[in-house]
Amino acid sequence: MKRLLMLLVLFSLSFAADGEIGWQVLAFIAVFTALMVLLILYMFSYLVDSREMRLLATQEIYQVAVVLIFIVLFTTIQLTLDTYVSGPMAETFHATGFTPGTLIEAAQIVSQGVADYQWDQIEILSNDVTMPLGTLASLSGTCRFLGTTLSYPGCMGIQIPFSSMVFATNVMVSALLVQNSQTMLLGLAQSFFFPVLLPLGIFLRCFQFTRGAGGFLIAIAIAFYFVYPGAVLVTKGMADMPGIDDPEYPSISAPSSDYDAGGWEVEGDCNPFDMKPSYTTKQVNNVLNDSMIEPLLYYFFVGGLFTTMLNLLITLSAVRGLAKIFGAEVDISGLARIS
Amino acid sequence: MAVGFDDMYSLALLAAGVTMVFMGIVYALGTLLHNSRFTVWVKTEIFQVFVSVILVFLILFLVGIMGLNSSSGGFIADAGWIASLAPESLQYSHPSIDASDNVFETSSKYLKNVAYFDHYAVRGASTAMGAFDEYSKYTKQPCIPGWLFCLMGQNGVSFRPLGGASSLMQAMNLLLYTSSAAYLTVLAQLFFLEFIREGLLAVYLPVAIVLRALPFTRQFGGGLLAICLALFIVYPFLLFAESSFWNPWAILPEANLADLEGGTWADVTGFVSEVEANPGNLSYGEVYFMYGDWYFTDVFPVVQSIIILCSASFLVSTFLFTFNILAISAAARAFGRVMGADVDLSRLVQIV
Repeated sequence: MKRLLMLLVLFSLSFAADGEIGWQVLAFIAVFTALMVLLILYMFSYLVDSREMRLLATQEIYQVAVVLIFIVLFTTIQLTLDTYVSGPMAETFHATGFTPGTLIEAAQIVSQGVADYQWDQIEILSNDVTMPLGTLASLSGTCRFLGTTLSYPGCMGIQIPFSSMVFATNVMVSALLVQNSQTMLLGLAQSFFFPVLLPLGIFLRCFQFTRGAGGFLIAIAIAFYFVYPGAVLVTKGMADMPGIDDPEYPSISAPSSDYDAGGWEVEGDCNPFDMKPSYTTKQVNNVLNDSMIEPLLYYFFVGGLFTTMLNLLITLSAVRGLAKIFGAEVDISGLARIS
Repeated sequence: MAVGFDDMYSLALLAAGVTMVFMGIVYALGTLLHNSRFTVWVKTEIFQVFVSVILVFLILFLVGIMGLNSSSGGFIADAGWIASLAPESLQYSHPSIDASDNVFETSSKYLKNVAYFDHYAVRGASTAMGAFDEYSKYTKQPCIPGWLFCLMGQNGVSFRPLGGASSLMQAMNLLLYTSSAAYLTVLAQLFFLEFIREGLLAVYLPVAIVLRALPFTRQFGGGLLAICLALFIVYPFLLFAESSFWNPWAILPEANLADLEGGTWADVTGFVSEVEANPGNLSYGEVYFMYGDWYFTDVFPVVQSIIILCSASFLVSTFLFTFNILAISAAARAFGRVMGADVDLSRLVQIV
């Protein structure tokens, strides 16, 4: 009996590993085990003639019945979402190559799609804008004769728009980092929160002393398996609603590494010997082009950083609310720090 | 001041014995003075003493299950449980987890594997940062006429063909910061686990047992006992459970768990091993005496793999650590309520 109780938690892990048996079986095993323990306690109360113990066991058996209702409710919600919601939602949010499956799979595909798009934009921005700007900003002319040196840093002003691109690259990489973390968190919810935490929480909720912990674990499992992917899909849909076009990158000409720097003629958008402010102005206008800046700001700030933070906050709010329903009072403000 | 496990049994019984003697004196005094309050109090306290003894033996039994008591016998929770139930779960090799490792050893090795993973995330970010720094500084400077090898000075145009790489260097700096924080978080968890195993058990647990047994310090002792339970039962067990499913290599795209070849992990480790040890492996293009294999166009795609690695390290080290801290805090509060004390460990979240 001790081994059965001890192994109940780890028992779930085998199915988390191969996924052949769903969480419902584990949950029913957990409930059945809790029921056996309570029935033994109930019978023991007659042995020791303890009315209080009998009352306690009866109350806890009622809680087991409540848990059974929860299992039925969760199963219904899961089947409904997977059958009627996940497919249409994924198609709506253009999850390419997606075949109807679970809600969380839809969210993973959508989230990974956003991450792939973000990486493509980082690549294009670096190759077409940032690298050429950096090269142009480094151009300088030198003329030495008999101890006299004249320097022509005619392209130094391009450092200004280049610095803006450095900042933009930092933000874009941050957004991609967070987006990847979101995708991995969805995988964590699929492999651990639901198959492991839910049956464990159901088992713990059946007993008075561990009801709070069990309620908290159930709330975590439900929130991260249903609410989090739902939030991912909904916020993606909201982000797509304005219909912002893809960024249009300017064409910037800079000397390549093959350029023979020994000559006085400079290929590219800037000649340092000319000392013209128009070279800087042109690049500033390129960087501030609305057709590039606005889509980048939208897809990375709003579609990247803001939505991922919002998804997590929505989920944590759901955890707090669900924890109260299932009988737990846990301060999870620490998880909100991650956002 | 450390107390051995066998001594803890004796200590618990001694504390209970001292309390019983004290109770006997108080009961005799109560009977002598015909004061029913004394006798009722004594009966309550005697019940609490028995509860304390049961709690102590239960805790020491749990300690034995965790494998910390070398003389506890055969019933120990070990990594073999996980291996028998989920055969593919223990695919760690830095260091490898044996089936005979107890809960603490498994948790410690799991954290070392995560630290190894995070370590490569840090090295990947720092190596890429250094590579982009090198690229950004590469300068072509003219010599006119070239056959004089700059004896007449430098005339013409100088520029840095890869000057824009400094933007990527800044981005790698950000990844380095994130991955370093994640790495240090894992190391902190590792040392926290060692502290729990070596310090908390040997010192605080005996103190908590004694205090719980004495009538006037029962509440404080119960609170301390609840904290000990949460830290040396719940925390290691959480890590023990996480080691079976949360393999950071498993979340990398296209990763082959069996030999870790191919995909994101191989991209980063290959890049680090070839460039970190020998910066001469970087190549700037058509430059004399620079025959390295890593051109800028070869390094840039590795950035995506480094970002994925840093994301994974951030998630494992920060999110799961926060989850563990929350679980410890909740468990301590629950255990404290059982023992009649109000324990609030929510401040531990400040660590995050």
